[in-house]
This record gives sequence, C-alpha cells and structure tokens, in this order.
Amino acid sequence: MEPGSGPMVVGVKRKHPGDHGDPEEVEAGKESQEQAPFSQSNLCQTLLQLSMDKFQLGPPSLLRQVLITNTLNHLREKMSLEGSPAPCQGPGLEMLFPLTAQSANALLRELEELLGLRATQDCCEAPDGTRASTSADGLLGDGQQIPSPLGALTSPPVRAEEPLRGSFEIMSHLGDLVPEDFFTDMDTSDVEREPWPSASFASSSAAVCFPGQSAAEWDWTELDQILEIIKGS
Amino acid sequence: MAGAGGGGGLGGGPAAMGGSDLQWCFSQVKGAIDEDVAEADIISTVEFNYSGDLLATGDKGGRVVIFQKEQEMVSPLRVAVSSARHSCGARGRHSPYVAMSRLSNKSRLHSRGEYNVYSTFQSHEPEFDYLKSLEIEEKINKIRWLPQQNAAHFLLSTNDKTIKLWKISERDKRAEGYNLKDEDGRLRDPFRITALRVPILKPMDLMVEASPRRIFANAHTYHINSISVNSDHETYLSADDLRINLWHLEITDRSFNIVDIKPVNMEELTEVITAAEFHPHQCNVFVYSSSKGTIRLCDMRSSALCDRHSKFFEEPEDPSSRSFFSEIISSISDVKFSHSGRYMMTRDYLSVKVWDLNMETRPVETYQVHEYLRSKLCSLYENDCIFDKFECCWSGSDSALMTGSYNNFFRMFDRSMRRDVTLEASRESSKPRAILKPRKVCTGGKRKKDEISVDSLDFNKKILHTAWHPLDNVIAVAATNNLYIFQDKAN
Repeated sequence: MEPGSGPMVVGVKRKHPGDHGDPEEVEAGKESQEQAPFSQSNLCQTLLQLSMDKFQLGPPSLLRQVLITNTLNHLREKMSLEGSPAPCQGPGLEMLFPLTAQSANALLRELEELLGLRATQDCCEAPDGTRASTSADGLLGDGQQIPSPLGALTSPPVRAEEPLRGSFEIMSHLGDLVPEDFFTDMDTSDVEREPWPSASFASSSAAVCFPGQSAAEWDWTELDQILEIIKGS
Repeated sequence: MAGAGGGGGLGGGPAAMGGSDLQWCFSQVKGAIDEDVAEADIISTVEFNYSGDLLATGDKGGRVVIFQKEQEMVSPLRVAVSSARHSCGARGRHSPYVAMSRLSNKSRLHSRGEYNVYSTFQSHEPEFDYLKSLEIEEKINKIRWLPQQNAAHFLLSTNDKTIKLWKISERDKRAEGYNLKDEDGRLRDPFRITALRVPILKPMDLMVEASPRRIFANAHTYHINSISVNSDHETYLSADDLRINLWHLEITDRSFNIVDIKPVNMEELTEVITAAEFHPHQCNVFVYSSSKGTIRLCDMRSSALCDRHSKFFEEPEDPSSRSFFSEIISSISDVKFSHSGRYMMTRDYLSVKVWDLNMETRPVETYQVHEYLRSKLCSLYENDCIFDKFECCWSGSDSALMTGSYNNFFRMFDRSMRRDVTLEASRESSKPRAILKPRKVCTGGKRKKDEISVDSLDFNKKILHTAWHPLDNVIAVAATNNLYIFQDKAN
C-alpha cells in the first residue's frame, strides 16, 4: 500500500526513517499512539487508587492484602515501564508519584506511620527461635522490644536499628501487641524536636493530611514526661 | 473444556456403568426461605463423613448441624424433632458443652436417602482478645470427620484461631435406682440410706449428645484456613496464612510447626498459604497451595521442618492472557487429593485443574468453570468478588469433579466423558425428584430462551461450598443459608 492511498492504518507499513509519508496518516498514528498509552495510564491510575482504597479499607485478611499489594507492585512496574507518569488526576494521586520509585510496601509503611498504625513483632515465636509452640505462651511476645518513637526525640534516632515491619504486620499487629508496644502507635510528628532520619517520611508527611486532628487537640506534656521516666528507667 | 453450560448429564458414578448418563434430581433443601438472610445462618462449610451417612454443616454463627441419612424403615425411636435448620433463621442457643436433640416417639417412614437433623450444637462462640483488641469470629471455617472407630462419631471444627474435637454419641438408656440420688436428681440424705441397690438401665428416647473432647488453641497467629486429618488417624494438620502445624489428637497443649513461610522482614511477604491437605494414604505426605498458584508437596520423613518442598507444582503462565489481575485469579482457593491418592485437584478463580503427583510441570487436566468472567475481572475486582474462595470436590470414584460458581450455579465435570454441565440450586426447581435442567450462560450474541446473560448473573448468590458423598451419587450444595441435596435419578 502506497502512502496516501487506502484507509489509514497505524504501525503497519514500513517507512524510510526520512520519509514521514502522508501527514494525515502520521498525525492519526501519532494521535492513536498518544491515546493508547494515555488510556493505559489512566487505567493504571484508576486501579492504583482503587487498590489503595481496598488495602486500607478492606476486611482484615492477609491473603487479600498480599494480593492487593502484589497488584500494586505490578501497577507500579507497568507505570515505570511506560515512562513518565501521566498527568495527575487529583490530589490523592499527586502524592503517589514522587514515590513511584519505592515499593508499594514502603509506600504503605509510610502511610501507616502517618496514620499512627505501627507493626509489631510476631507473638508466637519463642525467644530461642524454636518452632514448637505451646498453648500457654501463645499470646506473649518474644522479648523483642520496639523502642518508643518518643525515644528518638532526645537521642540519636534508634528507629533505624529496628526494621520497620511493613504493612503486613498491620494484619496481626494488634494480635502481636505486648505491653511495651502500647506507645509505638502514637503519631508524634507535631511535637518532634529533632528531624526524622528518613527524608521520604518528611516529604510524605507534608503531603498527607490527617483530617480531624490538630496539635492544639493534643496535650503531650504530661505524657511526654511519663515516657521520659519510662525511657530513663 | 467449555466454560458455558454443556450437555445433559454425567457418567462415571460408582453405581453407573462407564458411558451412561447421570441425571441429577432434587432431593431436599434445608434452611429458611426468608429473603433477609441473617449473617449467622450463612453456611461456611459442608462435609460428608467417611461412610456418607452423616453430613455436617458449619455456619458463620459458629453452629454445627449434622444430618443423618435415614434408612428405608425407621425405628420409631429415632426420629428427629428439633432442628436449627428448620427454624426461621433464629440462632438456637444450646449449652456450650453438651447439646442434646430429643427424639420423639413418633414413627415415620422416610424415603430412602433422606437426610434429617441428627444433632445441632454451638461449636464456637465469638471471642474478644483483650490483649490484642481483636474480635475473633465464631465462623466455622472447616469441619473434618475422623474415621469412626466405635459407636460414637468424632469431628474437628475450626474457626480462625481454635480447633475443637467433638464427640457425637447416642444415648438410649438411662440408669435408675441410684443410691445417692433421688429419681429427680436431688441428693439423698446419707443417713436415711438403709439399704443398697444396684442401679438398672432402662430404655429411654434416643438422645444425641455432642460434647467437646479436645480444644486446640493458641497455636495460630494468623487465620486458620485448613485442617486435615492424617491417614494414621492420630495426627492432623492445621494451616493458617503463613504456617502449618502438626497436632496429635490426644495432645492439646503442644503442636509442631512443620511449615513456616513467614519472612524475617514482613515487607518481603508476597505469598501466603491458602490450603493444605494430607495425602489420603501416605501419612508422611501433605500438600499446601499458595496465593501465587503453586502447590508444594512435602514429605515429613525428609525433614522435621518442611520448609523445603519435595515437589513443586506450577503451570507456566500464558503470556497472552497476562493482565493486572493474573496473580489474583491464579491464587488457589482449594486443594484436594483424589480418593486414589494419585491425583490432586486445585481450584483457582476461573478454573479447576487436575494434577498428576508424578508430573510437576503442568496439570494433566484443566476445566474452565466460568471463563466468561475473564472480561469482567475489573468489575469483579471492584466488588471484591475476585477474592471469593471456591471449594472443589471429587466424586467417590474420582471420575467427576464439582465446584461452585455465581448465580447459585455449580459445575460438574466428567473426566472420562470429557463433558461438563452447569446446574442451579434454586427454590424454583425444588420439586421432589425433579430432574435438574442444565443451565447455560450466554457469552455473546443473541441470547437463547433458556440462557442467561453474563450481565444478569447475581454475584451475591455464590456457591462456595460443595460436598460429594464418598460412595453414592449424592451431593450437598450450600447456597448462602440453604443446603441443597441432590441425588442421581437411579438413587
């Protein structure tokens, strides 16, 4: 088929690199190529937002959350392969784009931190790592202690020493709480006296709005004193 | 195999000669007819016992109802009167430890093969873990019968956290003439006892007692999805999302962890355990399936900790059908060994696959359950139906398979005849001995008279739990809060 004759087609005819052929055909091809990635990107964004909502609002099922997270990872990879992300569709998605380089798990971890949900260790493992479980000890922690986030205010940040457990611990975080973990789920971003070590945390904390909360509503003085005492002891 | 409805019947039942067609007839339906279904009444598991004479159901309210198959001539003392399934959805409350179903003196003739209520009891209660601030649902996830070794029957029932061993026994005699108690049960004054007598046993109306004999608790951090009794009749396994534990039926305070896929860093978690089962004959072999569509066969003789599999079953993905939801629909929701032990069957979202244990590279048979849903995956993801966990089951002779679908449809596949059929569990076709008419889903083009379009399917009516009688062509299908029992015409 010669250029300029017959119906317009896209990507079928081989052309000389210097020969752009029928301008109309080229424009139609360019337009459809622009539309296809745009639609795909649109779908990715929609699925991304849907998956995020499902992850945070769905029933407590580890299977479900793993499947959604893997889907999120797949979406992220797809969007990365397609090049730069599509124009932002809304304020919610705008937050996600700077973080596309991170794993979905890290993204969700940071969201969980901001929301005041912290993961804890598993409670059924014996301190010595043995696998035989006993009913009597089933509900107690394994001795690992997650330092209070307030402990990072006056000392060099120790949170980096304890690996953040990730979003899947959320599924059992309440099941794994031990008395030492009662203070770990407090969001102290409003009363921080030292910068956090993670830059991404700082950047994302600025982007995430915590509706219904303000520093004026929190009176940390007394609690801070109590935690200082505990930390000191 | 075609995804839409197919021919008129199945062959290959144990009583049928090879090649003859089998027609399914409605037999019974249990449960309330109310439009508003109470959440607690939704059936969550169905299981025949080894002989097929007993059929157990568990529901979201933590109750277990056991039906017994009646013989042609019935003893006047063995007629059930009370039934939680016959009530209008009320949550019948019984003693948490012993429940008795009093039987009347009425004599009735039952048609052969009819299942009637044998026992009802509250297996699990809702709990609240105050330390973890978590509510533990009472929903019965699985019921597994133990092989009968004496007059009593034993079964295991489990919710998300706790497994219980129940003993169901009959009592038809009552001791009278106690020395220390009056006939009404009050204690007698010892000083007034001047003579001793030997208590005598007198017949009474038959009573069925259900009592918890063992409670296996506090061994699972995550939600239990499977229990499986070993062929040694002494041990069983329980599986949650990340671990599998081995128990001895006599020991409740200790279990052995045999599989643990929990990563050190939970951020690296990408796969969970979805189902597990012991081999029907080899007490050292079990399999577990994963959310990534893989099955691992483990041999407990090779290692005490079976983190390393002996065999790994996975079908290569078809690149042409890859989509955003490929991983979700490949997640295996159920795995079942064949009765022979040579094959196993897996159920993922769209298909049923039969695997030869000697071939790990691909399944030997694949049956499409509802392929017409592949183009609707986005919608099904949005309404969460894509996360539904369908079960599957073998016929007694391993010649046929059965699994559920939406719109109260269930699918049956004849392996020998290579035919499939779609049937419906509905009240409209619930006339005694009415032959079930095959249903068809219209996948495109002009819809025929008896066909139903994909867009008209009711995704709230899903059949997740089915069971096939181990010896006869009798099937039990759970449709929300109703239990349908179908039999082949010859039966």
